[in-house]
Amino acid sequence: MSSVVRARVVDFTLREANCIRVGQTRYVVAQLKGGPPQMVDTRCPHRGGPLHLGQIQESGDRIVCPMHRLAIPLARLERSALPMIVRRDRVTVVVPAAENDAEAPSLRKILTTIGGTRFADSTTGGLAQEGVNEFGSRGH
Amino acid sequence: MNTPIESYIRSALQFDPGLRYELFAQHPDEFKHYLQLYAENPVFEDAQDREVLIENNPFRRPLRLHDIARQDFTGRLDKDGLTSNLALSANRILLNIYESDLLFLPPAVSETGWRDFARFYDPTSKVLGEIVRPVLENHLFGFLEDEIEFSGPWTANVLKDYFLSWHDTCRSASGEVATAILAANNPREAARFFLIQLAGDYLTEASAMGRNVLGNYGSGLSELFKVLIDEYGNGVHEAKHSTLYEGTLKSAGLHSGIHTYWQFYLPTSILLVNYFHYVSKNHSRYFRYLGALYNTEVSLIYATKSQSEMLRTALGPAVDTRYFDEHTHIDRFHGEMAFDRLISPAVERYGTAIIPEILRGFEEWRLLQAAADSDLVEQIRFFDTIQSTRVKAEQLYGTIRSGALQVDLETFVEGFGERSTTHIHDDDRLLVIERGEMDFWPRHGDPMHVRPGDVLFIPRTRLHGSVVTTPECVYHQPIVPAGLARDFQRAQ
Repeated sequence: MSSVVRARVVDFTLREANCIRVGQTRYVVAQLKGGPPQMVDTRCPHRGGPLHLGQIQESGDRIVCPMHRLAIPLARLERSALPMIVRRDRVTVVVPAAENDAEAPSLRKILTTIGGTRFADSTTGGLAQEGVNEFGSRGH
Repeated sequence: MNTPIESYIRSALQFDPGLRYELFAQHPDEFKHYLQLYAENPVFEDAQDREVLIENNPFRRPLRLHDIARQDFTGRLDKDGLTSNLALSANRILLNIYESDLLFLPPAVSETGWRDFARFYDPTSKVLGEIVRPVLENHLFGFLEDEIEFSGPWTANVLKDYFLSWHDTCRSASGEVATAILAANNPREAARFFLIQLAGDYLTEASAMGRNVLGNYGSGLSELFKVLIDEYGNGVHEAKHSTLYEGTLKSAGLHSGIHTYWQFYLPTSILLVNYFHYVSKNHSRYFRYLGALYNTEVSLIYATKSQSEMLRTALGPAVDTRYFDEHTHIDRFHGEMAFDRLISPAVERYGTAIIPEILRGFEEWRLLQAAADSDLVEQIRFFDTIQSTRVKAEQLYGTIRSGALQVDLETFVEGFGERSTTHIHDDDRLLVIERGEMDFWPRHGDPMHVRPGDVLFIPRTRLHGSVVTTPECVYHQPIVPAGLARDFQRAQ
């Protein structure tokens, strides 16, 4: 086990952030279907709408994009998830090498409707603007 | 999506408190009955006045029977409960159960030694211990299931990169414990107390690992056996890691017998020993064991280096640091062996279905180790400040005595030689001596001798014990209201 570290390990608390930006992709902490929290890409596959501001349907398996009201399967978000560990409000995300080629991941706190009640604090931070609430990478 | 075989592997490895626990959840009185029978073994009786240290008898492990009779272990502690009196009791009992699988012999020819040998390994005690063990394991470790969660695609490569990054985390760790010891009022005693906390683990080092080299599960067993051989000094007793640690203790002026300092182990120090038994005795947790093993082998590369330096600073150049220096060297190999020869081949063989368990062991050990570090730092702060908080404690008792603050005094009357087996209060309390005198231990070593009129502040979750030294001692232990306790914390 002597290879060079390729993936980037990013640690933060949910008080600090609930969103990590890797290149042009924005991952948001989501509590879907009552399972463990996940860090998912919330761009709508239709026109890139903000699915983290969408509403999960009562059936519990689709989310409605606020832009064009298309219902997107949650399974699609789950497939985009980054490897994540949650210990109470401490989060570790591993950004794999392929996602990691360009600039360093940055953290931010944004408004979201899919963070779940457990992470209520992280859902009320208000919309972050570019350059605001940046915490920079804590990656190794 | 999980394949059917992945789902099968995951369900086989899932934590299962067991039917026995479910039985006791429905019939808690039955659990209490069996626990009481187990605890009534004379080797677990309350400490006598001459048993502040327990020398030359590895079987004598006092519990507090009257506490155990009142305590409920059928629920789960949470992280904040790890330093409670409940946790202290559960850890002491569980360690006794696990260590009845290990072999200790009386260190000298003595009637007491062989009598207690027979009692410790008594078949009835063994059966009773096995009956109550799953409940105690669930009580202490069950909360970890909720405390740590995983999501996303944890592939072999992601796991490898995450585990590699652990080197960086450990290399840059602040060394909270070493810093607290060197900043203590008496770094020598703080360092000796630190060595005592490790003694419960290091004097039986790698015994839990030994549970995983029995049987036959392929090349992984032989690779783990190589690690075990190192731990056991290649069969040379002088090089066995536990023997090296005996040398450290002796050079620091401490006893090197098994559990001589039983009374002075913090609950989280015992918890760490118990965790490795917990994931090793229950073989469905083997992959969790591997994650915890990797974590500790890598962290010790860096921690032992700073601990060795700390010990030389606190105890002088004559202290024997070979135990620590050996680990700075050999754990570099053991970390690689754990990943390259145990974890990686296991993932290759069984697929990603086992990764959550490996990760869980890694993260659980990390959490428990951090809790133990904090507990130790808090105890050092307690015995460092017990003198400086006396004036404030006396003022507070004056307020209580004047009637300006209404609290129950909680008065106790004890006779000469009466000893309180070390314990913890789950509230902040004062200790007020009304009549008579006692010796009081906030740590190992020479006690504080307290007399009528003396008042001490004992913060919640701090280990302590006492022995009455006059024909009778009357004392009070009023609970300090939360707001006033915060004043003491500021005074500390």
